[in-house]
Amino acid sequence: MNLSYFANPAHFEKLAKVVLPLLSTLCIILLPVGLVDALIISPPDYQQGDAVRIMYVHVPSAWLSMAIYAACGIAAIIGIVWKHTLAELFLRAALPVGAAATALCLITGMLWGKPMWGTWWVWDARLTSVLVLMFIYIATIALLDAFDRPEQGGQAAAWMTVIGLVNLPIIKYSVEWWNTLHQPSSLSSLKRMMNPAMAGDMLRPLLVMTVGLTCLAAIIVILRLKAEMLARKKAVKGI
Amino acid sequence: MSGVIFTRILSRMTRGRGLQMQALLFFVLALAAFVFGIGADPEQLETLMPGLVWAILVLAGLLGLPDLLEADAADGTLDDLLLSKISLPSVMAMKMAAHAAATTLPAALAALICTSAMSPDAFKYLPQLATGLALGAISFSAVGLLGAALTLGSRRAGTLLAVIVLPLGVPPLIFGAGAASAPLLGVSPVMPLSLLAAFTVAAITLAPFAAAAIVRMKVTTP
Repeated sequence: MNLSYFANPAHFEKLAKVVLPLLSTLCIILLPVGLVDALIISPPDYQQGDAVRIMYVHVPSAWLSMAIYAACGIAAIIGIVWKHTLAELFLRAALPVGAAATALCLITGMLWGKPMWGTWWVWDARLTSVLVLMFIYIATIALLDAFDRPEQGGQAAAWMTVIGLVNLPIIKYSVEWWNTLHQPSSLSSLKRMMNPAMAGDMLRPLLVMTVGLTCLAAIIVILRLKAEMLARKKAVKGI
Repeated sequence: MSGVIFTRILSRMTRGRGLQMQALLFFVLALAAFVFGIGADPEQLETLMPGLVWAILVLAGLLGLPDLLEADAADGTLDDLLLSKISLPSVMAMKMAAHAAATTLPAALAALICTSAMSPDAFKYLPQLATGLALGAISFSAVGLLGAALTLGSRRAGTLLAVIVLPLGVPPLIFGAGAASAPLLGVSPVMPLSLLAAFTVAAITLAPFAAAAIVRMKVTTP
């Protein structure tokens, strides 16, 4: 069984039937637990007070904005090389979810920046590169529906996604390459994960929230993908 | 053969439309608009000038893009070029060069003249400014070629072009404006200039191949 096994829509449906209940269960358990932990149980920061709780949404949405883009990048390359329709449909399903995560990341970041830095926005490298990611998401989504034939839109969006991949390492390393107002990552590698620059009481809800929101995003993407497949089937059959 | 095609591409881009003059004029008008908006305080203008000039240059790079490939696709020239012996990436490289010659380089020249005229200290860093603007102009044309290829055959290509090209033009914009304002801040412009040069080299080598693949996909996708 190789990768192209899952490119078959029927096989994907079969896989989705197994994965969806699993993800839903995980999500239903993790998100409430994580939210209660993040908003009530975990201690306030000794400097930031309760404002630190914004982190439990901000960091997962930042991770999602990049992870979804990376997934789209892989799908785009597959779509360009093998012209699998499922890859194109995945872009249609996942790009808006990624854009939403990026918007959430920017908005929570601004809400967090106002009390901490005294300003909603600064043009530092991390913020600017995430803003560029938002623009790239918008451009790619705009390409999807800009053509009379949806296949052309899918291919054009796939190319745009691949070109935009250049931005991911810039975001990731912006806090290390440039001296930014945004703090460097507290969980940048496995080594630091084992010995993190963060108290365990805060790390626990952060990880739970990250896994929970990732499950939620995956569920949304799978449901949207199923809907896109139905829509495409309908269009092909001319119903 | 390729010389003939390049001449044809270039004349097609500029013929009857005076695209170079248009780019120069656009640059001066946009700069004047900014100055009217900001106010004519010389000291403030001097610090703002490098950034302004670069921001207008990236906008000027949008000129000529809607027709860069679309006109050829509309009248069948593109099909001729696809069938000709000359490879599609080299056709795309010629398109990129023609766009630079007709739009971004004239705008960069206008930028150089305006900066020299408006800030008295500009002559001290004219070589850096000229190098940066030339590199930036070429890389904006490379990014523009990608945008033109991606939007080829689309509805409402105009807005879409801006949405695609402007984010991709951010890295050269940052490095170029950084290099241009470095002398004002008393630091060396070598670092941003070399990053800009690296981006330009990467962009002009990769963009023709990517654009060729995208155009081929557009023509062959049913």
